[in-house]
Amino acid sequence: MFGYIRVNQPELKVKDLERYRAYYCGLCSVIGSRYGLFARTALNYDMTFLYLLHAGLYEDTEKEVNRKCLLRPFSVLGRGRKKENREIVTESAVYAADMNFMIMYHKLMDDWVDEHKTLARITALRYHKRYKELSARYPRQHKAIVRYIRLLHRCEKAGDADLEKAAGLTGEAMAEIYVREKDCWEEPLRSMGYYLGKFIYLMDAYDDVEKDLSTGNYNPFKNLYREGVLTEKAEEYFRLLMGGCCRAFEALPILENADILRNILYSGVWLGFSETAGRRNRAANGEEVQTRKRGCGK
Amino acid sequence: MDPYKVLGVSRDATDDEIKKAYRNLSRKYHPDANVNNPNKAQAEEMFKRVQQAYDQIMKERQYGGSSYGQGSGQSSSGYGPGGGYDGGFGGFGDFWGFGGSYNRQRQQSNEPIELQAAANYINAGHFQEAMNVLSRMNERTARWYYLAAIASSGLGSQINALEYARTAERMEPDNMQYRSLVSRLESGGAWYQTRSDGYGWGSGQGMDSVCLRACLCMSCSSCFGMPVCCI
Repeated sequence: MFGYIRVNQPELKVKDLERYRAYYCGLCSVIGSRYGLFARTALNYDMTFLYLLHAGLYEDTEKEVNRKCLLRPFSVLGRGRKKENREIVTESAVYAADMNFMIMYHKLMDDWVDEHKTLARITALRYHKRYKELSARYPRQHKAIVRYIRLLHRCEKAGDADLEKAAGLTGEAMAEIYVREKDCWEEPLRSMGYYLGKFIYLMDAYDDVEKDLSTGNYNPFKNLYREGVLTEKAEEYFRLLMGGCCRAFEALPILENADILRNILYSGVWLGFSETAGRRNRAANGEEVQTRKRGCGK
Repeated sequence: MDPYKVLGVSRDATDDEIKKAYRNLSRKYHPDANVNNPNKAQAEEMFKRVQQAYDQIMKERQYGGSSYGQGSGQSSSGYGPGGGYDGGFGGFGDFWGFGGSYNRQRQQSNEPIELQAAANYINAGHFQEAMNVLSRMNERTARWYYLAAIASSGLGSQINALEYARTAERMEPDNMQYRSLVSRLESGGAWYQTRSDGYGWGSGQGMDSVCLRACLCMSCSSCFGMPVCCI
């Protein structure tokens, strides 16, 4: 359910895109050095956003490295003749890497509990000790994630009719993750995390509504979909949530990375929505075309 | 004390100018930068003042002047990201003002006692309690939806709040209070849309018009059913 908080690439300046990639690669390599290759594959755009946000807010000193990358063997193709990746590593990367790891661990455990994926269980067992260390280091975040998983299961099982219930739980967990330390920026960061968490959950639900209807899984958008007003309503709701998020963002004194962050917040977050809406739109139109053709054949 | 004077900027300075001024001053007066300063105490005092001034200006600009601390409801809903931040920080401060006029109205009408209780909880900032009382009621009048909207908003459920407020407005279209609540709840989304126009996401932009190569590097991803390789 991750990956919605990303950049809108064509609207980004070339230097900002380079910078975004360098942050992405920097975070990836920090995860690699702390947790190994497998954990690197679990890196997502949402965490890269958190990394950029914290780095911009706390104005960390940046360290730049160029490195060859195993995970991107073809990078030569897309990036001229350069065979090395630029990486930006700051103190904030460690926090984002740790959070990424904690979420990954719970995702693995979840896969084991829900779908009995043995491989997930084995991997999780391997990381168990590391996770213990982290939960001692970040007790607040640990508690929030554990609570979230428990309550979300309950909510989805009960099939809660409240559209915002499950999303709100995601928001509350994300709020804790966004707050790195209890300083003067706690409130706006908490608010950003809350709205983004909600946004991510509902965006995922929006994506999966057909699938969930056929499998019978919980989805808060089912009713709106049946009524045929989903896209229109969802767009308004997403705008409302992003409005809340961006108000908090604009209250933060962020100057560095601000263009990239705004590209994500005001534009990139909509890419997932427009993909799904476009897909549904075409599916609806396609059906019409087909019926017309069939009509001609008669 | 004028917060703009503390930061040394004019009242019509842009947000970015204020952020820059804040950054410069807070760096200058930061305790870490003044360890050997004989006037350490003064620097620390200035540091605090700069912080306060920045907070005040941003609250005024982003949330129309309502202050962080206004939401006394935070305690009732635990930390409640919505309840805490949005109730207090998030611009619905005016709702607490509605208590006065509401009390007067209440004495004239024969409102159910549950609605009165819910209104009292809202006035005290106890949104969860208000919601509990409301959800136990079977009779749902426009006033019920109105109160449910305010309580939901206080709890951070903006979507539910908006839908409740709209229902209230639909039931009594002439009620100015309901109408203004709807437009207030809609304002966040409208504000966002205006801002996002400048970032390549105008309102007129259709679903398909946006280039979807945003799956930055890493992998081949299938956008629109077609594999697009974007290494």
